[in-house]
Amino acid sequence: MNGMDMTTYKFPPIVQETLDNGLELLCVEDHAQEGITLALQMPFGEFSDPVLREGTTEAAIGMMLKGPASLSPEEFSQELEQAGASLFTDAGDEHCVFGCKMLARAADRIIPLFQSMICSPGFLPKELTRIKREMVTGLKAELADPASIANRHFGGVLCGTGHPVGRVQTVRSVGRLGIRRVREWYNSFVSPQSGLLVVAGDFSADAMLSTLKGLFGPWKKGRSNEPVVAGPIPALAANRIRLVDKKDLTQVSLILGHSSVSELDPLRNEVALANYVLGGGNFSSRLMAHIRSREGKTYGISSQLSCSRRYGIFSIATSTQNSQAKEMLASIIDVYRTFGDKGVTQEELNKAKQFVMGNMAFQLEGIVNVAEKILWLKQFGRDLSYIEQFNDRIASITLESVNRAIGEHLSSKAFAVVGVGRKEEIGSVLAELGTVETVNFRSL
Amino acid sequence: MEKLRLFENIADTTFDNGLKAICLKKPGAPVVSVQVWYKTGSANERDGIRGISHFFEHMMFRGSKNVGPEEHARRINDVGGHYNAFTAEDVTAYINAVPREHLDMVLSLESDRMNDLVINDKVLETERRVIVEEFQTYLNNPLTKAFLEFRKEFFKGRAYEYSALGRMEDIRTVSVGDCMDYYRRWYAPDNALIVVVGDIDSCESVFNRINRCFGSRPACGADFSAPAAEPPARRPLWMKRDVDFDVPMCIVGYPAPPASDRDALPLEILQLVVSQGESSRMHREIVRRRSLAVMAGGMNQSLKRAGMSLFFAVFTPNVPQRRVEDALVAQVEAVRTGGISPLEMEKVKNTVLTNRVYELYSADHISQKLAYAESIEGDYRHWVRRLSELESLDVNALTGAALRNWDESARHTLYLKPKKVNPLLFAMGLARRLMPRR
Repeated sequence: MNGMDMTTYKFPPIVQETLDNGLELLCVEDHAQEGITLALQMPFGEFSDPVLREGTTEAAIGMMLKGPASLSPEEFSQELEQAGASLFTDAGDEHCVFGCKMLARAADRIIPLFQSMICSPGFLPKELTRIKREMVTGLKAELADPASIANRHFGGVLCGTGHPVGRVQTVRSVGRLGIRRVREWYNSFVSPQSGLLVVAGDFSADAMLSTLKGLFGPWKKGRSNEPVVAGPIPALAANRIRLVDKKDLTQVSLILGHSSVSELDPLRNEVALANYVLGGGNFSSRLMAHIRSREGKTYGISSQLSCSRRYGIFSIATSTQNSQAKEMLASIIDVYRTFGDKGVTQEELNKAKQFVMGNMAFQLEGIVNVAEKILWLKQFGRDLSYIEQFNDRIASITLESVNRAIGEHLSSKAFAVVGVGRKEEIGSVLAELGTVETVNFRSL
Repeated sequence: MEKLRLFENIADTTFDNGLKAICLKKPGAPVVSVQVWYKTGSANERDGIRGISHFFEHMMFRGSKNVGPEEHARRINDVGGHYNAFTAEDVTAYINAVPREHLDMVLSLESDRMNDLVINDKVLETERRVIVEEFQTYLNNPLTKAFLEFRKEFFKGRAYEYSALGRMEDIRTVSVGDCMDYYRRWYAPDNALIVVVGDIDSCESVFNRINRCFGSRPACGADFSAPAAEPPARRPLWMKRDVDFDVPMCIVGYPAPPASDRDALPLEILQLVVSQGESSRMHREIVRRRSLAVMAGGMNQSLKRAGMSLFFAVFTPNVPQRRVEDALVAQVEAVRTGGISPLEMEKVKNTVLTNRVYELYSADHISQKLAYAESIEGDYRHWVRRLSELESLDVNALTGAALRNWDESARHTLYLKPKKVNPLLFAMGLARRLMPRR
């Protein structure tokens, strides 16, 4: 591993404790600036939405952000924003995060406010009407962006609607949401025994721990409902193709992909390194070099590896003018097949490793990134020492194991393909890959 | 304010060839951010080469004397760093961030493309195709397309009439000769700024390294003095576009001063009070109390020669557009005539301070803010001093800034009307409006 940067990354000192009610607390002191970030993670997400009521998690989180029962939504936002604080959330597929950024000097006011928002949310019915309207508007607004449309369809084409990945919010599913279901969601999932609260920033860790114990200690355990953790996605036997017809487009937006490794698969890091070489590494990737730099056929092309606990998805996304869609698609498949057949070189692998190891420095810059990294580790049951061992782990990966991973996970014979564009111009292009299902762009 | 003393670690210098450098030592994460900003953008273009600045944003990655095509990007990737570039009205900026031990490599890469960029037909034709693709991507989004038309009308006949995207007919005809002329004229050390922020030894050591890399290129010697402010058009305009966008939207734009003007900060404060957050006036009045809109917001675009203050609302099809437009205008009028309260001023101070604290965690963010303040506002110290300026600002002065700039007779309005109305969205909007209010 000559020339490879072997910096060892470490978290700052962390004080942690698990409360009697099961809530896990982690406090990370960082005195670089006068900020404090709180982030509470729960192990459930949008996959836990009831069938035909997709959007329940997002609506419920939105309701919680309107504040506790003791304050009106106006009073709550005024209290927060008057102190310069702001809330953030992340509604993932299998997890969700409630967070707050604040000044250290405002912590005495804001942390209790955050606690009451989490433990005693107001859930006013009129707020649900407002949130549903925002969600529907958001769904409609997405129809302006062909890449977003392609994304919304891709999961369904890859998995069908029987798998949680294939289910998305629609105007109809949001329309079905009622206050009873949303409250039920809260009672089923938001409870201390499955929660992890990370606080990072300008404080004394012991004092912060004491504050948090005082605030969150009395939070009563709720039900221990099992969150939905999606299972593996079966490999495709043949291409599945959907054309999303949108008449006003001069370009086609494409996504193609297949199932791949899960986050906990032993070959996960090997596939991630391979993905960097194929399409994840921007100008260092083969797809970018071939399709953009050499042929000038697109503004951007990239591949992604999205990993959850028990499944993974590999996908390639790009766009091009309708007139060159056929050539572009052929080029993408050619690059992919060559990659699958021949694998990566030692030089490519070394560069991919150097990127992954060097980039960790940025992923730990600042209190928000540190908190996010801790949550990510815990989400997958990893110890915090994973970061300290990260470079050793990456450095020990061999060319043989990466090329074996490519053979197993990036050599699919069949793809799920979504093209968003004018049916008249790209229908025949997609038909060369197999039978095409055509839908209107407003269909989801 | 104790922790904001990070600014004691800031220094600047100007080298013999006119290149200005700003450096800030930021201990913490072992990374360094290097940004090179050229003070040229779409405002420096003429008919026939509209979009050429954006060409350079692309071509600067296509190789220079000692660096092969895309090698700049690849070498930064190879050490775990990231890079980016953007073109705006007044600047074209190149962004790099790497682990700290690779600072010299980035300086060397940036100096090579400042000194000896490769410009030939092959490179130009490939990037022309890529740029046409990028242009089409923007135009395939009806919201973006309509907004580009709106800003073109807003700045009509002035330097900012064309956005950084330029004009398709010019993009198709820009030649190697045009590019060479543009490169010699604008990509000069005396028209550039380099900002280095991160975990460095000392600013002095960084300046020495910059001088070693960039010092050999002589100054261009052209007149790079800041352009004069452009007076805003004092005429109203009302535009409607029927779009394939299912959500009605209303945008109103008022003239705003150049970024260096003394009114820029007061208008920024007013913008925060009027439009930012759920406790803002627009959200409370238009979204919550009157239920006219689903969301409402705003932003100021501060440029070198002029600016634009925008306010917008997204609403449901059952609400008459005129009512939404009137409601937006009423909020602007209220601060024009009534100013803001001390409580609102305190909220602004806390918000700005929080934003600043969080910016200071990131070397990239600090670089970006320093470079913007130096290139657009004329002095990076404006950003450094922003909090103390805010402290000393007289609340009563805000009204004067609004009265001088947010001129109702110059208001531009854009109404985006959906070609197709979704019945469920209509029904939900109606239901919301019929509900009892608190």
